[in-house]
Amino acid sequence: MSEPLVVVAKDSAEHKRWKYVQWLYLAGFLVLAPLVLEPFEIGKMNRALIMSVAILAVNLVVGFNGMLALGHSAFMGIGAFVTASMVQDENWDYWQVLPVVLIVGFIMGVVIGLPALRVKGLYLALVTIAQAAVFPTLVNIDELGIAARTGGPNGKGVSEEVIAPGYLEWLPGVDGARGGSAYRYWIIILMLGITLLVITNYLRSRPGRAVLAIRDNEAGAAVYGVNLPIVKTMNFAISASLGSLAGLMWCLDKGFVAGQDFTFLLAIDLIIGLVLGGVGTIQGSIVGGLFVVWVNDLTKRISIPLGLYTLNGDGPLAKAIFGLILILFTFFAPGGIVSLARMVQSKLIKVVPLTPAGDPIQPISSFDPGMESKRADSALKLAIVPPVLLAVGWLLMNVDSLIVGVFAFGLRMTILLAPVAMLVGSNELKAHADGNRADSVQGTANMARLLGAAGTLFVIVYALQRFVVNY
Amino acid sequence: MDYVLLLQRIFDALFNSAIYSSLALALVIIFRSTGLLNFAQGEMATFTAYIAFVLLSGPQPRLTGGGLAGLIPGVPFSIPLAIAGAVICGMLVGAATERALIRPLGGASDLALVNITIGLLLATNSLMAQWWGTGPRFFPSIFPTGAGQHFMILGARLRYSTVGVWAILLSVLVLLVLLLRHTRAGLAFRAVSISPSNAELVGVRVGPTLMYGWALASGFGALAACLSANSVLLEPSMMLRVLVYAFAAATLGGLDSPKGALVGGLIIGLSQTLIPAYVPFIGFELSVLPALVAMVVILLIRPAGLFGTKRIERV
Repeated sequence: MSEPLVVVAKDSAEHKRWKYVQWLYLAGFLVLAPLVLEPFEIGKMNRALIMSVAILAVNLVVGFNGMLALGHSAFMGIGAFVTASMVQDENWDYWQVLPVVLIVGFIMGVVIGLPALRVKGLYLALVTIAQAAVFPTLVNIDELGIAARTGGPNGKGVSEEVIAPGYLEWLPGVDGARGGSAYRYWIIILMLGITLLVITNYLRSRPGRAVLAIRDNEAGAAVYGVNLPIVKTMNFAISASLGSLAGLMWCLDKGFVAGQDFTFLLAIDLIIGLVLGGVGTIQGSIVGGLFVVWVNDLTKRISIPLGLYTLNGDGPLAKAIFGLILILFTFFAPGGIVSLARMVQSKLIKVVPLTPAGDPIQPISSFDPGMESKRADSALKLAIVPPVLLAVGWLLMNVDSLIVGVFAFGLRMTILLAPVAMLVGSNELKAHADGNRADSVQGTANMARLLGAAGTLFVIVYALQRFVVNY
Repeated sequence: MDYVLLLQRIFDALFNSAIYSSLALALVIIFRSTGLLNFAQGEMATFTAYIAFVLLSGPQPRLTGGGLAGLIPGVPFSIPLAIAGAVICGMLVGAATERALIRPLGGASDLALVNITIGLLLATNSLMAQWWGTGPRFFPSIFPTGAGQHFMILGARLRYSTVGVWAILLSVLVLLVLLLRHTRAGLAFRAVSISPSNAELVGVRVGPTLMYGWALASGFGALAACLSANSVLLEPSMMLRVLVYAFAAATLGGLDSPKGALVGGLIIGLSQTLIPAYVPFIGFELSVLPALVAMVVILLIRPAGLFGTKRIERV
């Protein structure tokens, strides 16, 4: 399958259909997550999404502006402590604290960024790591009433529960045993969505393009009239603001903040998430957040007997695995999971961009392999393999082992590719009707379409069933 | 003001200063040669301190996590011998790290190099915790540390261990200078650290030279860890805090200046002890603060550090 199976013009009807399917999958996952997961697993999910926001903040500086700033755990801490203090001591609502946290984060970003961004490369890494290292001790200072506000070494709890108001109880999962965490899940999803919207648009705006230009070539950007100190500092401040937002979400979700939560190790977690997800991509931040939290959770459950002694993931081993993953990714997949996913995607679909006039830059028909087309065969493979893997995954589920369980989950997920097989199959049939394919293609393509349709139907029925059972 | 107390505090601070200086020196050696900060320096050093510990205590399955006890020589080593073993082991580990993890990356971005060393930090730290446990262990001192083991100078006590650590640090430094100035390998090393590409053109083998640099640095780190393990107690994360100070010291002095590392270590060590003692609102738990503030201020005024060379950007 060196050639992509589907070639579409950008913004054509078929491309749009393809996009709808992606959105549908995303929406399906979002809606099913609070319904299907256990309450404590929803808590993990919340934590992962919060990490995603924080990693996006780091990405804004490291990935999009090329500045090696590694100390965002401190901004998270600032956001979390401001929130805890305002909600607990001043009886503010969370939504009232939100603008305050954003502004405080922004100001802290300017205060730290203005001097820090004078230095470059590894020097900046040093300064920001110092910032991350010193933060947990700063919250313990007795002077200026800081310790009273932050709770000092004991941390600060927020007694106010976040409970869904009556008119929001229709949200999936909110009603019932997992109500509290599911409601917070929806709040976090909403905040994450707005953040993504804002950041995507920011990066497409004039200052956003200046930020990217600085990353690509600092001297060049300066020559083109980019005001380096202002753009860098503003970008750093926006990122700090976003980090504080993640802190607010942290406080909202956990209801408790302590200095020990925001150590250098959290900063390292953010870096790991950034690298694993994909440096310099928005999707990478999300994937990275999910990865950091869930992999950490999974490694904790590992237990492998090795002769005299048992290798337990519960102890320090989790960090070793993270370290190993970080090194392996740096060597073998420097683009992170997102680049791996894009590699797979490029085997399936190619989107041909449009000229300013609105036509594809290269006619779609020129990509057609003609009478020698092997697409139907590939489609058939794509239609047969996922159901088989699904069945194997189901059988493996009965094996009581964590690693096999994760593996089985991955196998079962391949069924999500079924619509691709259906699409390619019907495309080939259409091409045959137009006289562009040999007659021998017909049977294979029909089969691929049928199996693909069955797989798609299965996905839909299964998702609906899970929805109905749990809702 | 109580001058005896002041002198006493200075004497006490000198011990830590020596430790910071030697770890900072390790960082500087690597930064000079590869332009890279080794975030795993502290953990690698701690690892070698554990090696020394195992050598000292002889074959005890309890210490080695089972299985591997047979690999350790039967006779418990004496302290200097154990430390020498640790230093040699550290040099091997450093060289192996350069060869296996750093060189294959070639001229990758700063972020990639930071990732590698952070990954190494995490992995080493947790593997040590896995193998030897997280509980602190008593590590004997190479110097007499009993109650009466000190010089009296103007009424303040200067411990033998402080004098000893400085004697070791300075003599190793002299050896390092001799090595760099008067040997062929030292000349090659200096050439590579100034310009790797030009050094290669005149026939210096860059790769092995960098490997020696890493070995040298890790040897320094091992020495620092073994000398400080007595006072901070041996545990997997013992050098993490020290590393932050060593970073501050190296930055303060200039990341590419060995002299700067020495002076930086002194400044950081002294300020860490003296400032909390004389500035009322900074308690001892905040002793990390003045060092870091000093680092940031220096970076702002002189981004290259006190003794560092200024970087010039070419377009």
